[in-house]
Amino acid sequence: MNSFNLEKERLEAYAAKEGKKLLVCEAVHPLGKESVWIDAAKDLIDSVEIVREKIGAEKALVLCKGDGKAFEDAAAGKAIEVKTADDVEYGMPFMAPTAVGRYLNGEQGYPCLDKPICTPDGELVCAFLPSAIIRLSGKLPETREFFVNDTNKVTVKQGQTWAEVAAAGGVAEARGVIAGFPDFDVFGEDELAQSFDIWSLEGDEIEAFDANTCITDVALKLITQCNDQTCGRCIFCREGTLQIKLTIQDIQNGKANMESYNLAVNLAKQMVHQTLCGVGTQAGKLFLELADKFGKELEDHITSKDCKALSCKKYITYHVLQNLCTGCGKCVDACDEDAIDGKPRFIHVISKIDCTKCGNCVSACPEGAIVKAGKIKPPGPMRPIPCRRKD
Amino acid sequence: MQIIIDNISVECQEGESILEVALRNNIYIPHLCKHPDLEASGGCRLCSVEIEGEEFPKPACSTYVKEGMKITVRGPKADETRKMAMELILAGHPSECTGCPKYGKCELQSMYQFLGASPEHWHKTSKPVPDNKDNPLIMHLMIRCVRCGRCVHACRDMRGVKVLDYRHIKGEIRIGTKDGVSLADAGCRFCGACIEVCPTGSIMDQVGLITEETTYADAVVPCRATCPAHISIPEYIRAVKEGDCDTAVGIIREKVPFPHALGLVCNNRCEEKCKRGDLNDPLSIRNLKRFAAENDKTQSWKEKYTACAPDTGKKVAIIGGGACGLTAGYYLRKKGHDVTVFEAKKIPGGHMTSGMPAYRIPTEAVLDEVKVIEETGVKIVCDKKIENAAELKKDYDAVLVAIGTSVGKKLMYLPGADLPQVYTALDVLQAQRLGIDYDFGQTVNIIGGGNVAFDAAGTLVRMGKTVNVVCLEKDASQATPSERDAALEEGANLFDSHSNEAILAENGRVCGLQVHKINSFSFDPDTRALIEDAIPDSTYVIPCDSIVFAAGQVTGLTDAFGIELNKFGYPIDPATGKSEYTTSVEGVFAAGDVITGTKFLIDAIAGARDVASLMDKYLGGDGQIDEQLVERKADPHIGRIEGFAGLKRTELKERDAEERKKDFDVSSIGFTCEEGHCEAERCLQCDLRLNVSRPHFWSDFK
Repeated sequence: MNSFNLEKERLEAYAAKEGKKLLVCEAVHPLGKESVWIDAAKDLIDSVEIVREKIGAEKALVLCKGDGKAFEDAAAGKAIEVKTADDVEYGMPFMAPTAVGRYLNGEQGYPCLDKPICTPDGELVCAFLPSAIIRLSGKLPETREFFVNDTNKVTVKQGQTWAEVAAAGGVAEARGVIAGFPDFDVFGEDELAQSFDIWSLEGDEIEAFDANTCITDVALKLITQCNDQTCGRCIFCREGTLQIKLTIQDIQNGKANMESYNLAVNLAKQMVHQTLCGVGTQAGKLFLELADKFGKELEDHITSKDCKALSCKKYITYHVLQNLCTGCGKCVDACDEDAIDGKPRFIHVISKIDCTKCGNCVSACPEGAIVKAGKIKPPGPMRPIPCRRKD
Repeated sequence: MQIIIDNISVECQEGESILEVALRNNIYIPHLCKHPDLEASGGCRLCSVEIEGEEFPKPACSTYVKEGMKITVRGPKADETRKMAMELILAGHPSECTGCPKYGKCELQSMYQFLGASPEHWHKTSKPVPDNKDNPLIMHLMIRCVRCGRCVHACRDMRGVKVLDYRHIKGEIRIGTKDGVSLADAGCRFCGACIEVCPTGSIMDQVGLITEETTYADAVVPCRATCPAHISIPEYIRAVKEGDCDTAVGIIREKVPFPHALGLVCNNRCEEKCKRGDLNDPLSIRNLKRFAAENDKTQSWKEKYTACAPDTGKKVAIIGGGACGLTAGYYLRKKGHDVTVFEAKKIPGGHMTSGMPAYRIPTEAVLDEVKVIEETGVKIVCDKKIENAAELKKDYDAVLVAIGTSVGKKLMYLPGADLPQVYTALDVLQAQRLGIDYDFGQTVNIIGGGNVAFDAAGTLVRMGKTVNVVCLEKDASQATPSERDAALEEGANLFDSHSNEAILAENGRVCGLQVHKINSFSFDPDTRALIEDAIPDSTYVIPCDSIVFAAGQVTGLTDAFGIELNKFGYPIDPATGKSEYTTSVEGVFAAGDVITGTKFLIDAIAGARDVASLMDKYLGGDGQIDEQLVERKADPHIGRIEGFAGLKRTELKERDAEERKKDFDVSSIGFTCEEGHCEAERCLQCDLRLNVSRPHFWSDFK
């Protein structure tokens, strides 16, 4: 959040430059999804027009993926061209106008050193994400569309709280929210009652999670997004996102220690300053904020082998509750590993050795007698004994 | 402006990067993704430095100097960044260096040893990537790739070929072609720039191309290394491609004085080593040389070419006005010596004007090139046979024996070989070229199946004779197929797998050759005697009016020549007992076929260059005969050519056999401008690789 000042600086620099300029609006969704801006095409195009005039560009270009008709309709009669960029190999590294410049020159869109790039027609490339265009235009609509947890499209009004947005996106009792790809901001439970400026967010993604979701899963998902988007030029992005991803997996699998965790934190600090575009920078920032606001939860995994969300298989076990089991044997049929021992009207017992924690038995049990457990295990027999339950 | 690096004040200019300035001032900053000839990509962060006033380390390769900047190369923060960057690079690189073909020459290896970095704290992320050795000339051993991007920059920016790039392949970033197609299909021009800039052993020359036996430059540019005179082939081909034949001829003339003659008859061994041959067919180097020589309009090289050093007052006599004698004469004259060439025949040129068919190498073409040599002041005395070299030496400071092998050999053991109508192939060629009248009759049987036999056959056909070529080898396999077929198309008859019994005579004149057929033959390894598997009862007579032996040539020298000879008539240096540039008489030198036996034009010229240098030293000179005649351009940006790898070799067209047999004009048709340009464009320009800078190693710095 708040790269606004940088953008303003860049805009002013462009405006001051001599020669032909081309304003580019990067409406290509970095994750290859359909842009949320299709629904707000008119607002976006209006802002593009304002910014175009501000920098003195004769023409503006809106890059999008898939069907660009909504943009085209909104741009009718304006000096704005809409170009579908379906051949972009990966999301254009954002906050790197050089990547857009390269793309317009028929190259892959990857960032190079921050020096001006011109199109084949000799126009200086001034590229911004849609949110930046809106901010720079100064014409801020009252609502903005976001994807919550990838697929739930939510219209957010200025002044709403994080908790309200999460609830609108299907997470009623959120305990954390992350303003998602490509610009990460992490908010803990105590911050969710705050309202936020919808135009302060770069990206169109919001990640919300409740007590049933482990922070490691959220972290892994978002870092993997970054790792998938790396163009490979910066060692701290290409290898950094991969190392952090592997460290998170180690945390989930009980293979991490505090030393490797701290190493990943130090790596993230380097990533913030030692990469050429937002992908590496934001990946580093994401991990640092996670360590800051959800560090305790991460450390519990490492030092206490504890996953409070009961999500990391390494730290959980499955149990048959002795007071609920009727000995029907449906769990035995559902288990591919033959890890459940029992006979009719005997309390069944799950072998800790053979169980792969697939969870099939839980959904197979008509009585709801099988549960996950973390550090505290429910009592139960070591081997099958006759059922106590008398129906 | 001034900046301060590690407390040392250094001078620099606006627009320079910190790295450039440091390296120029002998201050080492580790760096990997920045190559001296390529734009910095700024991704590896090994060149991180601390700048006063900046909170975080900055990459020196892509941070530009500002007046008064204070830089610390190995500050704690910069070192932390650098060390972690190196550890991360190593985490994705195979841990075992031994066995890597780049071992000891690897920039990565050198640098991690310098930094003392090791990836042990990190996850090992190196994934197996199968080696790709399927492309011609270039191997991709991408498991070693550190994605520094130098090959990508070299391919895209330096060369403009745009084949290599970063790609998403199997869940990771690797360097490769679009959609993983072969290099040929991707439009690769096989220039080798990627190999040259790769800091690790990821992109390398195919096994066997670079060997310890030759210098690196010779291995990279094998055509030039293979040419006995080391003509700078890629450079003149580039000039031809640019349409600048004058420059091309100038480049050729820096090494040889007979570009046109060589363009017509050189046996082009360079083409056998041409790397383009690994893609489809080698470049048609000889024919491009001919094209250049025939389109050399302004002769812009000439002024420099004919300018000689001040007179030394030394006199040199050269016996033999063939390619060797004339070449040596030219270089010795250039060095300021007074040179006289004695030629026994009535025109100079040796084999070029009397030992090869006129329809391959016209006399005027050779004499034009001889004229240039004469313009330097070399005196040529024709019709003057020197009988004794040692005697001649008394009047000169140095003498060169370059008489070649100009006497044809007859196989005297064959009954009837002493009959009057028995000749040699050289007799045939000289009869035509020098106008000597021999009694060949109408039908001529040629004994022998090498190229010379077919030269004689083609000449006799043009003289209106009926020609039979009789040889042991099935299909006359000793001869170059194209030369054999050309003569046969023109009407010569081939009697292959035939062994000779006797030359028959009637009334004292040759009337036929008695032969029998054989299945196969070989030579006894000890005695070299012929062992044949004859077909029983196959003896018959091939009628003819004369016999021509095409059975090799000798020097024809005897002891009367005044220098020591071996039993075959070749001069030797008694010091070694071998045929050398030096002879038994001090100041008398020998070169060309007379010491090597019959070889090729280019060998005679190469030998002449060597002996000229040696003789110049003998006469008190420095022996330096190399000279740059023309300026050349070598644009590293070669760009894309669609379908480059598949561009077909342009072959020389022959005139129709029925037409060409009627005259002695050149039987082949030189390239048109379009053909010449197209063929030249096929060149891989291997030499451009040698212009790529070598990166700096830390051991180069104090």
